[in-house]
Amino acid sequence: MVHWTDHERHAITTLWAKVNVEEVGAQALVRLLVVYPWTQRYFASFGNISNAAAIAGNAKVHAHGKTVLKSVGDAIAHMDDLSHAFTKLSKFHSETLHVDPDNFKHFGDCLSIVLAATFGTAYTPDVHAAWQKMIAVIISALSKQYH
Amino acid sequence: MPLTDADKNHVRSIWSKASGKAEELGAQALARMLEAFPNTKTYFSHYSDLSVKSGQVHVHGKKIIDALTDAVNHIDDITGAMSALSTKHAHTLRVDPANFKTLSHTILVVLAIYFPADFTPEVHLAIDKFLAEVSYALAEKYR
Repeated sequence: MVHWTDHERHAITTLWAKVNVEEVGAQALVRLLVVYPWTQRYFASFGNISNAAAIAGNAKVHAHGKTVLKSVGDAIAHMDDLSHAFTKLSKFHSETLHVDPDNFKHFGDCLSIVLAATFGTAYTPDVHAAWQKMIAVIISALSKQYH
Repeated sequence: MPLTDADKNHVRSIWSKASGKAEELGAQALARMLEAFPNTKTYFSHYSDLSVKSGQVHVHGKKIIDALTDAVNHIDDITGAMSALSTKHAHTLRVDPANFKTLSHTILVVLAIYFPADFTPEVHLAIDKFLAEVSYALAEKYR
């Protein structure tokens, strides 16, 4: 069980309420595929992701970015018991998708950066810190069922 | 993963804006690292204030950005440019090199905040590679 301060809860949920899930999700996934190109190995079925422009314009990348960000929303809704809530999703990443959990950190970094670019100075150091903690908790929950 | 010519141009381009705001960007990156990744506070136990308002954080943050500007200006020989700083980190400061990645991340976050239009995915990639090279050069003398 993670301990959240009231300040952290407020910082996370207040910012989340302003997030355009489709936009932020797409941008984060685009950055993952551009900045860490080896992650493209998991998206062979997405069509043309051969360069930054292709990735940015790819409809499947956009759609999947939205899917991933929706899960981040679920995580926030279950932030007090995330390991349990994400059991199935963790198993899915391990046993079906076979994603190296190191990549969760890369996505988390991209998400933090997209939030920074979107919200600018409103992404204050304390809000940023709360979100890094949320991201770390998500990564831990997603990694939990790997064996 | 060496820097391509395109990477170097991206780095120079965004850094030409960043270098002029060295103190502000440096203070932000350092303060964010200290707040979001508390293990890094262990290296600053001698600071009375670790927030973004701290004079000590401002002075040190500026030093960091200025050192990176030097690396940008010697982008074809980052190892050479970082040599003295590598010795200092290895023998005097003895910062665990894992933390270089942490500070690199908060530098990226700060670039995204201050230059959202310039910090495109390609520029993000280029700076990430550049900071990885700087980090490697900084750790060269460790053992």
